[in-house]
Amino acid sequence: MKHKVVVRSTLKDIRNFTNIPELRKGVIEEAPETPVNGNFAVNSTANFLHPSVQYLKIKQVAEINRNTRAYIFEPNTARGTAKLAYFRPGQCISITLQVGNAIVTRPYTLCSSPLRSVDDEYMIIVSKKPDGFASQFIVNNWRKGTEITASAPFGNFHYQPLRDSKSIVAVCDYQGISAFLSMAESIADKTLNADLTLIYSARKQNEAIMSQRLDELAETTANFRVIYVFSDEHVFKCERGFVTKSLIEKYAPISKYSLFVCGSNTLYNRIIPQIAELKLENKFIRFGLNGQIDNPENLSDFPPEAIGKTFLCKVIKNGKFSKTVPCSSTESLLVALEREGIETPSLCRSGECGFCRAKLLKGNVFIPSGIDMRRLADSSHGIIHPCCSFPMSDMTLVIN
Amino acid sequence: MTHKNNYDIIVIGAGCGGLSAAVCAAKEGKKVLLLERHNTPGGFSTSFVRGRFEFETSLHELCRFSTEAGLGELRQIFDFMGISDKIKWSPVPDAFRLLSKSYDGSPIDVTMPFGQDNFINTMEEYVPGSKESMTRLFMLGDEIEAAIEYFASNEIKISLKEIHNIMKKYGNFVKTAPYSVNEVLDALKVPQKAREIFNAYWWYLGIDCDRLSFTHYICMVNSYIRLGSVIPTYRSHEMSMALAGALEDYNGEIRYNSHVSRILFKDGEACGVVMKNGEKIDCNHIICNCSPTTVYSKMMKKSDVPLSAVKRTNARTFGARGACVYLGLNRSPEELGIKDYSFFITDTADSASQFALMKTIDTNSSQATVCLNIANPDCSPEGTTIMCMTTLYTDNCWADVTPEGYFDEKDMLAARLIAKFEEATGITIHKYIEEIEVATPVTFARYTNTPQGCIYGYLGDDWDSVVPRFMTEALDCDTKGLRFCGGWGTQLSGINSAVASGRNAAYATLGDIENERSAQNEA
Repeated sequence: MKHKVVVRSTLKDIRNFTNIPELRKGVIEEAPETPVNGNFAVNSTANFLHPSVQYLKIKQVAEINRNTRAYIFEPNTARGTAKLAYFRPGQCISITLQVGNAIVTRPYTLCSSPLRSVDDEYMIIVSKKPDGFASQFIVNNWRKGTEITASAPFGNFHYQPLRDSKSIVAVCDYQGISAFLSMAESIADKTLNADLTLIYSARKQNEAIMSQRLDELAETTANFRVIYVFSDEHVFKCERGFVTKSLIEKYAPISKYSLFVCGSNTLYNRIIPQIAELKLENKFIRFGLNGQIDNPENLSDFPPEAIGKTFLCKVIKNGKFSKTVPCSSTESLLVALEREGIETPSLCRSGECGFCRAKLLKGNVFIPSGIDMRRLADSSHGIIHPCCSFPMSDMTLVIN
Repeated sequence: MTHKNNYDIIVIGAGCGGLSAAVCAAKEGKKVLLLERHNTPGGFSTSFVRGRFEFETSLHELCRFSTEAGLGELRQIFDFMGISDKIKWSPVPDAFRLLSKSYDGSPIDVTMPFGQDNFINTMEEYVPGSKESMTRLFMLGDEIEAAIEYFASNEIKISLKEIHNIMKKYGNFVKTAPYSVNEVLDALKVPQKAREIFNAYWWYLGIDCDRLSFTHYICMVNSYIRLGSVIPTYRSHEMSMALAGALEDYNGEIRYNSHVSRILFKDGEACGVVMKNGEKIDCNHIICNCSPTTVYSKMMKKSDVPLSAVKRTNARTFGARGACVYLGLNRSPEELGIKDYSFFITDTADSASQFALMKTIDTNSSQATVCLNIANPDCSPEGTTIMCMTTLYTDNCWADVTPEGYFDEKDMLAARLIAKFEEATGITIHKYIEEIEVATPVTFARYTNTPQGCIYGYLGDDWDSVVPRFMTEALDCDTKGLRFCGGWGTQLSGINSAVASGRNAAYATLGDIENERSAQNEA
C-alpha cells in the first residue's frame, strides 16, 4: 500500500465498515410486512397497449360489394378482453383462423380511427381474392357474433412527426386502402395532425372500395383530399391511367412531402420506377407491408433447379420432435407448418417483424434478397423467418 | 402434462444473467432448461431492424472486458465459456465527452480518453492542479479492484482477527467501502471541477454520487479507464446468440415464447414451475433472472414467500427506469460533424441535482448518447449514421401516461432529447431522420416484464449497494431451491455484473446440489 486513505478517521472508517451488515439488516428489519406489491401502472399500460392476445367478437358486418365486407369488432369480454388496445393509424392486427385442420394467421390493417377503439370498436375490410385461402374463409363464414382471436396492433407503417413531413402524399389501390382510410378518419377526428393527399388507383370506379366514405371525409376535412385514378374507364373529375411520376407531382405540394405507398404487389411493381424518378430522399418514402410472397419462383434470384420440388421438414417444438411436414419449394415454410396444424408464431408474414423467428438446425432455404430483414447475428446463427423462407432441401427446424 | 425431474436446474429468463447461469451450470455437466417468455435471448442485450438499419437496443460499452484474452472479469468469464473468439469485437475509441454545466455556471465540454495516464493528464489540462489527487484516486482504484477480486472468492468475515488481516492487505478498501463517491473524493481533496468530470459515469449506475457506493463506482471507472471498452460488432444480440449457442453446445436446452407463470414449492422448497400454457415441469433448483418483486408477488403463493424476503423487498426502492431514442440518419457522421462515440449531456454536473431533474418527464432532457459508427464504422450503409440516446427517470413518472396519450408522449420525449443534443453540440440531426424508434419505460416493461420499466434493478442506495449486499448475501437466500441473478441480483445491473451474478448463482446452486447429495449419502 503506497498511501493510506482516511475518510473520517481510521477508527471511524473501520467501525463504519464493520457496521455495514448491521446497517442493511436494520433497514430491512424496519420494512413493512405487507405482501410484496407487483402491480404497476407502467406494466398495466404495456399490457394494455400490447396484450399477448385480443379476443374479439363481430359486432356488425357491412357488405361493401360482392366480394368485400367490412367487419366491426368489439371486445369479447366473456373470453377476458375488456378493452381494445389503442393503436396508430396504419397499424395492423393479426387474426388467427382455424380452417379445417390448418391454423393460419393473416394481418389486416385497421381502417377505423384509434378514437373508435376507445369506444370499443375496430374495423377491418376483407376482400375475397379468387385464390385467397383465408379471405374466402372469412367472407364465407364470418357473421355477427363470430368470435375472433387477434394479436395486439403492430407495424411501423404510420405517420411519425419527427421523421415524416407533415404533408403526406399517399398512393394505394383497394388492397391498401385501410391504412389511409384510418389516417383520414384520424385527421377528421383530430387524433392525427397531418395533411393527407390520397391518390387512389383502381381499374374501374366500382373497384375503389370505400370511396363514398373517403368523399365524405374529404368534404368535411380541410387537410384531407382524395384523387381517383382509373386505368380502365373515364370518370368525371377523376384521372385516367396509372399513377405516374407526373401525376404525383401534379398533386404533391411544392414544399417537402412524404410519400406513403400501400397496396398490392402489382401496384408496388408499377410505382417503384416512377418513385425513383421523383428523386426523393429515402426517408420521405414509406411502404406498407409487402405481404406474403405467393409465387417466389417469379423472383429473379429464385434457384430455377428447385422449381416443382418438395422436401421434408422435421419440426421440433418445445424441445420435442413434433412432426415431419412435406413442403414445396415455392411455398413458405410458415404456410407448410400451418397447413399441418402446427401452431407457430407469426404476425406480419412479410419477413419484417421477426415474430416467427425459428432456428434451422439442418438444411437450406431460399430467402429473397430484398426482404431479408433478419438481424446480422441471427443470419450467422442459422435463424430464419419462416414466413419468407422457402425450402431448398430436407431440413430440421426448431420452432417455439 | 408433467415432466419428471428431467432437469437439474431450471433458469427463468434468458437475459445476460440467466444465459450466464445456464451456460455455467451446463458446462459443469448439469442438465439445464432455460425458459424465456420472449422470442429472442439476451433480455435488454439485443437488437432490432428498421429499414436499412439494425439498432443496438441497450449496450453503450462493455465493462471489464479487454480485447486481450484473460484481461477483465467479463473477458475471463467469456474465455471460460469459450465464446470470446466467437464474437467480433469493435473497440470504443475514447472514454466519453461530457457536455454540462459546472457548479460556478461555466459550461463544461470535455473529451476524456482511455488509459489512466492519458485520463489524468487530460484532466490536468482541463483542471490544473488535479493531477496529484487524480493519481491517488486511480492508485486507490487499482487496490480496490484487487480487493474485490479477492473478496469475490473469499467471504468477508467480521471478526477482530479477520479485520486485522484484511486491514493489512486491503486497508484502503476497508476504509472507503462504507462511503459514497463524493465522501471519498472530498477526503482525497479532488478539485470540484475534476470531480464533476470524474463523476460523469454515474449514468451507468443510475444513482447520484452523494449516495453511490465509492467501491462500486471506482471499480467500474477504473476498469473502463484501465482496460478501455468494446462493443460486439453485430450488436449485443451477437453476444446473446453466442451465449445461447454455448448453452446448446454444453447440451443445455433453451425454449423461447415460454412464459413461466408460477414457481411451485413443497414444504418450503422449490419443486418445479408451471408454464402459462399449463405445462408443469418438476425441478428442485430454480435460478431466476427476473425481479424478486415479480417472483414474490406474481409467481409464488403468498404463504411460500418467507417473511424475510417480503421485508427485504419492501425495504428496497427501484433503480432508474429507462428510455431510448434510436435514430437512423441519412448522413454520415463526417457529414453531420459527429466525432465522438459516447456523450453524457446533462443540465448540471452535480449528479444529485441532475438526479432530481430526472424525476419528471418534462424536466428531463439529459442523455447518454452513443454514435455507433464511431466505434463500428460499418454498422450502417455508407452515408448513414446510427445514434441512440438514452435517458433515465429516477421516479415512476411514466405511471401517469395514459394509453391514448402514450404515442404523443413518446414523440415529445424524442423531440426533447434531439433538441437537447443539437443545442449542446451544435450538430443538426433532426433533418436527417430516416428511421426513428422510441422506447420508454412502457416498452421495457413490455419486452422484459421489468417492474415500472426499470433497467437498473433495485436502487443501489447507500445501505443496499454492492458491498452491503455481498456482506449479507447469505441472508438473501432465504428460499430453498431458489436463487436470483441478473440486474436484480447481488451485483446490481450492467452486462458484466449480470453475467458475473449468473455465474455465481450457477456455482452456488451446484453447491446446493452437492450439499443435498452428501446429506442424502449420510442419511
